[in-house]
Amino acid sequence: MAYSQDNSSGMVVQQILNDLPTLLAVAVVDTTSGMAMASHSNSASLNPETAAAYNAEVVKQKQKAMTALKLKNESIEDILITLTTQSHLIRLIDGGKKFIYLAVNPRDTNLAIARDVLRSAAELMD
Amino acid sequence: MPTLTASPFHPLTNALLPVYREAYLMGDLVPESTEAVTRYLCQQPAEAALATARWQELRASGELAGATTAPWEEAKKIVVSSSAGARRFRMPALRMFALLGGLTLTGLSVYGLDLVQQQEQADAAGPVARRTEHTMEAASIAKTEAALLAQSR
Repeated sequence: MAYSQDNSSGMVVQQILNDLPTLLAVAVVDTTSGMAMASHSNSASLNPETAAAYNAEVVKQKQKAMTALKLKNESIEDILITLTTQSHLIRLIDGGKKFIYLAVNPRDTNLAIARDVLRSAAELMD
Repeated sequence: MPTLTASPFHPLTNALLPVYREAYLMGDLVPESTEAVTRYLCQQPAEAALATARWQELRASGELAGATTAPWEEAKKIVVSSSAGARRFRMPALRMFALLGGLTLTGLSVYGLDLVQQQEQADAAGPVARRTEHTMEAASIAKTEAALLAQSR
């Protein structure tokens, strides 16, 4: 558990953990630096710090793609990456300056609920 | 293809972040960050030891099968070999300079002495020659004066 509940990032992580206790990993990440401001993992093989750094690049590249495509009135709300046995959800907050990273096993966690939980959590941060 | 573009160092402590050390070992940093981490590891032996241990673990697990030398060790080799190269260049250059200096001094000493001797000889011969010139000049003047006197008479 790499967070303190004294700040908003820590509170968001704790709220998500409360709502989705079977999640694999969760982190609140600064997009520019790729650093996790608060994180938690229930899986020994999933390091949320590493996930934060690499997924920050995913967000940056998607933002670049949006600029290249001149999608001016559009903004990224979330990004879903579906793996064989995992789903990775990225919910952008604070105009894309930060994001919440969530990894779940779709067998244990309903994807629609997971997205809704992230949406509610994002409202805490915004 | 390098992927991570963010700074690999902690913004406050400037320490290398473990995630980025891993990414560095995996070749996942952009070239500027790779160079910065290489410089950092060359300057921080304790961090380099940690990175070496992790690099050996990754190699043992087969994740870095192709790598034979750690990236910063490779960088050190390049620095050492370029220094050795510079030394290899400097030594012959110094020898050549010494040789040329020696030849110049030898030449000066030989020809310089000769020149001095020639100057001394010239100085020694000089007054005689000048006296001869003066004598010839005086004779010429006297001869001209005599001719003019004869004409006037």
